[in-house]
Amino acid sequence: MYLKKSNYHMKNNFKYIAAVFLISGALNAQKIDINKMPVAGPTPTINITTPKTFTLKNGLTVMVVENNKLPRVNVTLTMDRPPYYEGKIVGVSQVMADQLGNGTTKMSKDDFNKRVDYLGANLSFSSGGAFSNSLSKYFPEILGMMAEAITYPKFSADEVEKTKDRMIEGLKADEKSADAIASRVSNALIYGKNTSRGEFETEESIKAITLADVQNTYQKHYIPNNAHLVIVGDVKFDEVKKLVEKNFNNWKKSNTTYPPLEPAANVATTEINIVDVPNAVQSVISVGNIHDLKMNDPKYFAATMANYILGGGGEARLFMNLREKNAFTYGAYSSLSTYKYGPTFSAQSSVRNEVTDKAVKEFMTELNGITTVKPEELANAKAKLKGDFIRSLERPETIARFAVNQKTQNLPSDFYTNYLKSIDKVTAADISNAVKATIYPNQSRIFIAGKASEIAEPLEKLGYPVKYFDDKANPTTKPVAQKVDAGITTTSIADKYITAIGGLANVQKINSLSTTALAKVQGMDLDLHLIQGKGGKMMMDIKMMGNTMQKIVFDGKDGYMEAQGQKMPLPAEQKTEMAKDSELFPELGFAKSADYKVAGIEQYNGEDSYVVKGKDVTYYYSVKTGLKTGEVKSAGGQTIPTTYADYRDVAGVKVPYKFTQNMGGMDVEFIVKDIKANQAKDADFK
Amino acid sequence: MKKRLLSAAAVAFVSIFLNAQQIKFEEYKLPNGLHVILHQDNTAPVVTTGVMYHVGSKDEDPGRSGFAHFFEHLLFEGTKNIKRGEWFKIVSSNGGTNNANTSNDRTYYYETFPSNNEQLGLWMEAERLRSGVVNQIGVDTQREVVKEEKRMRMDNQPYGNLFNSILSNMFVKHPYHWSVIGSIDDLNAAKLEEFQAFYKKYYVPNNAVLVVAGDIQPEQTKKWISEYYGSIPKGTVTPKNFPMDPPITQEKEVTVTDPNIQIPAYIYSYRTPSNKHRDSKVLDMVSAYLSGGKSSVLYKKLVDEQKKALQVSANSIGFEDAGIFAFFALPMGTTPKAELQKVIDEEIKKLQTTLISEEDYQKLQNQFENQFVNSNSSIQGIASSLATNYMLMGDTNLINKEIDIYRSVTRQDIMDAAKKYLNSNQRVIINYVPEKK
Repeated sequence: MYLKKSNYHMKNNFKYIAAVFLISGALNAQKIDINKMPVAGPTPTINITTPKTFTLKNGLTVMVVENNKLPRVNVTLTMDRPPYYEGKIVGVSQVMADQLGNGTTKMSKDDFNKRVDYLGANLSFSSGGAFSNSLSKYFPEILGMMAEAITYPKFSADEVEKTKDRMIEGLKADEKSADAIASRVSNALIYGKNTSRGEFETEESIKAITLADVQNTYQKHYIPNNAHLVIVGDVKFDEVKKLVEKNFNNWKKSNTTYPPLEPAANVATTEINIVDVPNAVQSVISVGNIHDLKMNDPKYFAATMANYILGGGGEARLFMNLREKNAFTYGAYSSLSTYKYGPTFSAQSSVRNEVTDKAVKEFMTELNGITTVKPEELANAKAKLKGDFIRSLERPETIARFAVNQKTQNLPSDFYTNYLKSIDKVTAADISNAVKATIYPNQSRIFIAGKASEIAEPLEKLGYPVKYFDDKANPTTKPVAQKVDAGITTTSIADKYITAIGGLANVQKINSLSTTALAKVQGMDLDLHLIQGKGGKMMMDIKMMGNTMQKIVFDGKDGYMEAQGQKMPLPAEQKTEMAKDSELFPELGFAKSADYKVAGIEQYNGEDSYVVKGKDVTYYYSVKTGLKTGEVKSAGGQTIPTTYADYRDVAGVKVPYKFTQNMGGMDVEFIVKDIKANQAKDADFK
Repeated sequence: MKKRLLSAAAVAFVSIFLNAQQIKFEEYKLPNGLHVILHQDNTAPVVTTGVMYHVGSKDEDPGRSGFAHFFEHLLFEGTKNIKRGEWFKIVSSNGGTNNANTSNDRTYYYETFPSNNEQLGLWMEAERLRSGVVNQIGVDTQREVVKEEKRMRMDNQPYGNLFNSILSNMFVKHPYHWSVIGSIDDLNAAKLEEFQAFYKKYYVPNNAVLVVAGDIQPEQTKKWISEYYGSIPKGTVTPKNFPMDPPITQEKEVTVTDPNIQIPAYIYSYRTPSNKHRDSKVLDMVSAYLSGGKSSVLYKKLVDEQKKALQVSANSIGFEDAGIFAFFALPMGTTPKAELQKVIDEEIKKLQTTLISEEDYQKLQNQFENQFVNSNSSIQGIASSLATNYMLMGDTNLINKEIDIYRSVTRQDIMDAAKKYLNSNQRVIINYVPEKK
């Protein structure tokens, strides 16, 4: 017993002694001050896996990154080829790409898509590539489906036409978009509209595309030569190699040669290029130049950093100036691209019309000022870019991108492994040199898509040469704000209109108009039945797919509204407003009313039109014909523009058989089936 | 019976398969009760540090809805050693990103840094827990910010208050009744002293879990954790015991208006068990079957073929104490509600009386597996999953095991769940209609 006790005692001593050693170990280390913000440790060494590579006989380079952290596989196919001129059939590569998802010669479109869904996978194609994501157990099948779609695509005249129709619809939707116009025209001006880098799709060019063109494009350009297939995820190299060889060996290469790119140059001296977008409430500004900095140039890192400081985000100079300080815009940014076939620099923003000239001034100030950066800016930029790079390494796709870049951009083998070091090394002087090589404020093209009638004069005062272009990048003359001749009054406009549509006598004979019209919205039929009478009487019934969507009935004094199956009486203010429209033809009241004023000439629905401004409505009348080209009504805080066209005779008076109204941001075009005059009865308005 | 055995065997086989992809982690508790979870992954030099507090909107006092979320905002205002306005600058100038979010059940704060700033992330979260500054200027500033957030996210958005109307109708006794964002009145009424008391009550180490995931060296991480968090005093945590609502036995119908919409929405919602209950997972699969993707039955019938609905979905939502299963439909044109209801009721009936096809069952399994794999694809996502599984589900290892639960769900389970929870006498119908101006 005694012995045990002493053993226990000894054991305890030993324990304490050991504990003392442990504590002393901890004490030797410096105790942390918990109130002090820790300093960053040394930049982590990054581990960038080199993919295993092999090349098929047909030229396809395959890169495999084994990463079995998760049982999934991503496949990315890209093609490294220069842009080529499509000419009369611009858009054909897009049409071709659209066909690649339509099944194969061995599997119908429905079966193909259903199978991909069933596997819980994603599979998509573009004009120069493809992408898939799937669980690793389904990877062999998905890879097979991708290969089959690429090697045995199904091209049919039917599907080609469907694609063409969709693309043309897409163009139409963008017709008045300042952004779309800006992007298209600025590019065309930089490179030339009839070159491989500057050409753009038009309705004509898309219409001209034939099935044979699509097949031809596929055979010549969707080829394995210079293509990279990158497979990242839960795979084993040996198995993948066998799978790829089995599935992709039949993809035929082609001896397509690409002519050298058409040369492009910067403007000799900074100039402003304006495209008039008459309906724009914001100017889309893009200031920039081309350069020849390659990604493997030692100045690359400094240039990237300079661009970040200038316009890389919400802490950058452009944002702080144009948005935070001046409130010109919601955002202003810049981008520096080292795209192999067209490296550019550009700074962009969309600003309110009235401040367009001021914004341009600020842009140029910032472009000139970026040669010098403050130590704090440099330090923050380094931290941010290093942080972004490090965090991006988490995604396996990043590794894939690096591997392809390494090859296609001819990067030194340690480009990415030294990325962080390269960022750290950049000095303010490096920034200055890099800026001089990539940003040319003295040879910038200041491109603006906006409402010329408001922005042209102030811009011309800035002192740069100003050139005008139309929305197809053709040089044009400065849009002249047309002066309204003395002698043009609301009365004279009204008179000309009444005469143009049939004369006062005939117009006065019209007591009511009953219209049936049809529109198509997102593929569905919209039926409009509209009866209008004097004193504001109205019955309007809009049906979709046979069901009433909206109905308004007003008999001059009382009425109701119906929407979504719910009926409610018209509110008092609305009744008063509607009763005010006592005439079917408001022009009959212009002469007597003090509410209307002539407010100049503007383009409306493609025609120079006199602007007649009323309280809640603005009317437009063609200068040439006198007919009403449209109107813009303000109702309930919304602006509803309507255009009129295709005037035809009804009982001696011309009325529009086509009118387009903007409903909820969408242009809805109504085609009139029938208009009858003086057919309405009192009961119609009840 | 035979099918069940096969499923179990399949599950066992697959579990072996999945071993290679397990999210390995270790967990332990500090003496002050802080639960710590570490996940080491040295493949990319990224570390996420996150702290989840077991307090959410259900812990709020009546009359103080929105309090927990408001408080979340306050904890960015500064700490003893981080000046007001400095928090975000510290994060970005050290190459990181950060965020926080509040739910009905918990509040979660996290930063993701390159791994050479792991210590910074740990320090920042410790500062927040130990010495968050809760003062009047913070309260005044964030009160307006939160009210703007409510306006932007809900009041100004079409259908922005739809989910809140489901909550308020499905839960009457239970504090899930009110929304996380709260009401303007309650936000205005919140007082500084109340926030200070809230901090003392809920922001204590034994009410929290700290998760550190990514490129860490666990021995060093543990040392830092001990230094920064070890001396934070323990608090008192009272067990939660909220009044539960009795089961719904009679169909109820209500109408709610929204001034931002023109098309009404019709909601059919049912009460379901907590997300800790296996049936919650079964119901997840029921919802995916009904409306997951373009080949799902409700989408195909109502949107694609009959063109009666603009949008339709069946949603399974699980909270800590209870859950909701809600059908949501936007009619096309003037399609009456009855026609939408008819199809929804038909599909529920079918589920209750017929097993779904083997093909549909396999498709569900593939979809859930795909989701499961992708949910563990980022360090940030893993950190959040670890914390959630520990704190709200009671089992951290669900990060690896959850998929097994889905795999074990049979076609019979799906039918049984439909029979048990989706009867029309168990639902509340919400007509979410345009407000007449």
